Amino acid sequence: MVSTSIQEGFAAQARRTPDAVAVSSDEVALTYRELDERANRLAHRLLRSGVGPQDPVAVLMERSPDTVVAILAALKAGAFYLPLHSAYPLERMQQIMDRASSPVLLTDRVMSGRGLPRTSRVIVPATDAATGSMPSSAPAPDPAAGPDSLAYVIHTSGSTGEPKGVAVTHRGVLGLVADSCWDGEGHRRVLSLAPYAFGVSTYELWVPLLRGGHIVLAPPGDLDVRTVRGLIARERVTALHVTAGLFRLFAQEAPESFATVREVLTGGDVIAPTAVRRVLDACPGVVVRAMYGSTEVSSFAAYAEITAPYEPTAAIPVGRPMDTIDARLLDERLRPVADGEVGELYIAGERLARGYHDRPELTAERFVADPYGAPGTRMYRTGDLMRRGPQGLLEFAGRAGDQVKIRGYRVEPGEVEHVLARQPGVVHAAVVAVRQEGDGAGEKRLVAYVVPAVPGLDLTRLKAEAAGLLPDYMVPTAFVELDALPLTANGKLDRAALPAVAPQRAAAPAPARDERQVLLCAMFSRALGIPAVGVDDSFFDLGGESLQAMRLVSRIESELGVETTVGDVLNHPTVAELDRHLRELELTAPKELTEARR
Amino acid sequence: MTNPFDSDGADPARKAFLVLVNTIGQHSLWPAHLETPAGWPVALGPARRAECMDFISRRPSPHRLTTALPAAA
Repeated sequence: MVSTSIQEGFAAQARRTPDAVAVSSDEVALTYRELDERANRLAHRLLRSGVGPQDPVAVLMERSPDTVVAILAALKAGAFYLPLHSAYPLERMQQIMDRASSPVLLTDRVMSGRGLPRTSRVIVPATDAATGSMPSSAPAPDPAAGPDSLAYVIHTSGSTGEPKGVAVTHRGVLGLVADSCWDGEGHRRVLSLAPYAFGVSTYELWVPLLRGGHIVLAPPGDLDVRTVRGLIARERVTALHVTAGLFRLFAQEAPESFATVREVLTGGDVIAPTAVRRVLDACPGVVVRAMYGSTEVSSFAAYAEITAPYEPTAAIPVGRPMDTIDARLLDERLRPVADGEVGELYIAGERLARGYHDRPELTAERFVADPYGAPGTRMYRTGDLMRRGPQGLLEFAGRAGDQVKIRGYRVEPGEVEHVLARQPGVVHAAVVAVRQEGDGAGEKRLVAYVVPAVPGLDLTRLKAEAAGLLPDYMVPTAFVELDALPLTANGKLDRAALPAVAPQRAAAPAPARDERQVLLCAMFSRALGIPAVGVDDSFFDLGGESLQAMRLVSRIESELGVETTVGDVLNHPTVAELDRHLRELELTAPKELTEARR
Repeated sequence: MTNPFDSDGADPARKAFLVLVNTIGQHSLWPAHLETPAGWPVALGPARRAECMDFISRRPSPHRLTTALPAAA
């Protein structure tokens, strides 16, 4: 059974197990047959509205079975999907849509309520009458379509000030899905948490769907530990991927959550060995699979399998390359390095993306001629320095470039610098990633140093402007005004000479007024890694982000016995406001509240 | 460790690059001081990195050649 496209692989699976559940959420479950028929109808609708072979179809939807239908329909129409991240500001979505020549946009009621980018045509499949009247049979495949057709374009940060669209082929996705690491029963029921505009969705969608498994969709919106833990148990999830930050949070707050799953995948950033140990101590039967990869190689490329008993000694290795990943460690003259020596990782093989969509020059500097492959083939330079250690396992040894990971997302500080430097009153901007302290130790946040045209720049306003142009994970948490950027003798930014940042707050911390405020201040302080927090200090000004909010929610639940949500924290960002809100929550009948929040 | 595809300006020998092209019109930046791989004739250079990037950005994009791509090794 060798498929030449994702949709063909799916159709074959739908013939084998038509009545098995393919995807489910809290409200809806679709069998393989139902998913196939719905996607066929929408594919016919897309063709009718003029979508042609290898055109983009943009998708901006909440996490739901309809999203899976939309993505599959785009492929069945011979198009490729262009997922838009719901965390993108409208301007960034617009930039992506304009570059893609205003493609058809598939969306839903919630997303259209928040505002859509302008484009040629918008279809809301759930309420679109024309979709319902289309045939449920598969549309005729495009004869020119093959494994090297594009499956999707996913955008990542680019140093030139614009997002880069990575164009991934069917061959790349099929190669990931066929890897032997998914064999067996471990990936039968996969919990889907990642935004579908994130490369990890390749695993969450296609590994279950092309192997007869079942995608369990988490509810839309912000998630917290309690919700995910509940889903794992209720839906008998067998495997899931969580970002390194979320994994660490689970390890700290509720490591036993994974006791019933076969495998927990994690990655996207440095994985804390102590967190792995806490999880394995609490769940000795679980396999923790530390994943390494990038969108340019169709998601995961290598992994390290870790099982109990685990004694943390050194860093978690990158591990061994997947079946069809050709990994090479090369020196500055592109010669293979000896075992144990540090080289840069280059990847060749069928998993390579086509390149950066409509950016041939960026493609040509990252996807380069391969001196060790068949004539005329390419290899991708990852920018990651590694060495081959004992048993041939790859070990991480640093980054060759400036790229950093923030909450598991790749960020080029240069892109943020470009955006800041374009704002009125800003002459120069430098953006650096700094490590956090406290419970989130090891996580990074961005700090912006700006040189204004006239001293006294409104930094709050600058941050708001940046938030209107960049995804939330790319907005620096702290802004510092400087007279000039410190430079090295070579004229490069002298990072070591940049002043350290103290969190911004109004004057001295205002003291807590009662015992609960004392406790809340202490929880803020631990979650944010800040020594003293006043009752009027804003969570956001102190560098708080969604992961810290999740951590706070867990702490409030375990220490104060109040069930609250990430949204509550974000809407009541100071200790004083949150305290007042918690009081209101307690005054309402608790049962009603839990119901209302579902 | 410096990457041979990034020019750092410190070493004059590393300032020159080539543009290579394969049979399906994909381009590759290439350091001029290294031997070129098989199947990748030179399309431009030696030239400065920026000139190479500019040259590639103005070539017709091969991104629609969906049927002609060979299987990667």
